[in-house]
Amino acid sequence: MGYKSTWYPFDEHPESDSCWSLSTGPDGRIYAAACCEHTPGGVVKVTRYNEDTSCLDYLLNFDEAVEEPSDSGRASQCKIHYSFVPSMHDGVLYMASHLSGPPIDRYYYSPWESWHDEQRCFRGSALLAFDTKTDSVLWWDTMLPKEGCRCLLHDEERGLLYSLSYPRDRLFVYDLETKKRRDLGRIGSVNAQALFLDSKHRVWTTSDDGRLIRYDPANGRMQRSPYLLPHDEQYQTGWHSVFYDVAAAPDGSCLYGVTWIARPYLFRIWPEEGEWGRAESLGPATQAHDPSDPIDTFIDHCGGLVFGGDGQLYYVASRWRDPVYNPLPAHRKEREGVVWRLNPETLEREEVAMLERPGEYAQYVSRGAVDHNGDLFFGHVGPRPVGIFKVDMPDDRKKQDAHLPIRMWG
Amino acid sequence: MKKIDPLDIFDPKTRALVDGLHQKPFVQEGTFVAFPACFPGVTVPIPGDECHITALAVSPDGDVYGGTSGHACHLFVGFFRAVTGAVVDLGVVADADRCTAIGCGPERLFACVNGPEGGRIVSQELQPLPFHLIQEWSIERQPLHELGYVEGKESILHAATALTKISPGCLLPENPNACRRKITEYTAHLSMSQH
Repeated sequence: MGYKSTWYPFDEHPESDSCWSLSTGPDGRIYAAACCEHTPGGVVKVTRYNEDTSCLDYLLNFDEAVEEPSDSGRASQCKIHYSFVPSMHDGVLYMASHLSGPPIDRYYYSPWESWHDEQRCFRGSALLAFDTKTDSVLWWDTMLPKEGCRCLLHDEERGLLYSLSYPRDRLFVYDLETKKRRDLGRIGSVNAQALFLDSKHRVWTTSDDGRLIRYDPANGRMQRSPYLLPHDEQYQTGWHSVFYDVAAAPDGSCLYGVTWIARPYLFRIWPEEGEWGRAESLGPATQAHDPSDPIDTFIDHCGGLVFGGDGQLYYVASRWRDPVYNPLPAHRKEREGVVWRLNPETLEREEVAMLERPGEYAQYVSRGAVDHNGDLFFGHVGPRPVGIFKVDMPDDRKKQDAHLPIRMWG
Repeated sequence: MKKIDPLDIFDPKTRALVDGLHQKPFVQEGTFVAFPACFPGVTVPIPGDECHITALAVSPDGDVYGGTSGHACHLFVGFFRAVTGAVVDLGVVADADRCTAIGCGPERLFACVNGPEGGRIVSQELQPLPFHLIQEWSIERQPLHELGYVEGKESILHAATALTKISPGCLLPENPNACRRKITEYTAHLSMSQH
């Protein structure tokens, strides 16, 4: 079965080069960040898919909203990186910015080189509260001075936002009532790309060596698991097998994830089984390749994990031409972004769509989300202007309010 | 026979003596690098019977290039500076089982390899320093160019590189007369590559 895929470029932000954040808002609509990390002074614009016009609406220029214009001379407010999180009780969408975009008069930004440079250093990750009912900015604050926010999570019951900082790779908690932050400890150097929350309000992520890291607010401690996440034991060691993306099963029983390393592995975790939960390998997400060749992490990639209204897990895995392992016929593109549907009961996988971006490859997808109508959306990273894909769910697999229970992390 | 006193293991000098014995074999000055022949956790190492390192050279930027001997001959590069830390297998040199010399110019490496058909020189561009090996990586193997065989199926025993004007310098074949003409050609070719 081939699902219909439609490409929506960020036409009104022609310099955009990455869409790192794509999430379902508290209103059930799809929000996407048009990021710009490779242009000096580049800034992120927040967009939303308009289901009435079938277009993208541009909601705000982040730099203006947080009073850090692109020509400030500092590293720019260039992107929102896995850091849209909904607040269901009041319809707010929180978002936090990340660094890497250079100042307007420089070609490159190193957070280490500029750490002590008052004129150049990134001001910090700006946390912004956006009211989706009125399309207005309620407030903003500098959440992580000098650092970017790699990923964000909302514990709505407790009014807390958890984040991973970059480059220091530390776990922070931000209290939405007091607007105070607290440093909970260091993770490592690689910087995981996702956090998730369990029913005990414990926050989970991963260490550099591929172990689970769990912060338990009950005792205030951050601990590491005795076991490693699934990885290719032929040559991987667990190093860099950190979370890339994690999606909760709709019934809340477990979570599905994928690692951030070439030759990524799919897995699922039951975090509340036993002392350290249980992890099960679902095998590699992408094709085999020459294991002596350090393949490009931009080519060998998997992301965009999202559960559809049909209770099946969808994700996008790259596929590429390889003379030995995957000799695609000449009419096929060199790289492809394949939408897979995984049955959680049988673990069977079915290829349901190919992401088609006219004239370009579409193998790299950051995040996926399902809107209140039950259609799927995927954020893309690639040549400018970048954009998003909409994948129409077939009617017999579609469900209203398929986004509920909503994902609370970016 | 001279009598040797037994070691006093409680003598404070004994610890220093042990440390000296243990460390001395490795390095007295400069930098000693011990590293697996792979990008740890990302690639498989060069197979054990193909990874006898028989040639090494340092590029002008400080990256370490090498060649191996065994069931197959590999070329590799070790990156140990900036945000790196990897030995990258540049691939197997077809029809070769021994690398006897590596030379690095500002832009290219030259490797002398031997095989059933004799000795020859191969060349490729130096690998760019990877941007970042902690976050994400993109390392593209460069194509290998054949520069030609030594005449008469002679093997190459060694080579040296003069960095002022890169050329293989003096090739020392088992029969020096056999490859004299070819050496001239290599030298001219490589010299041209500098302009």
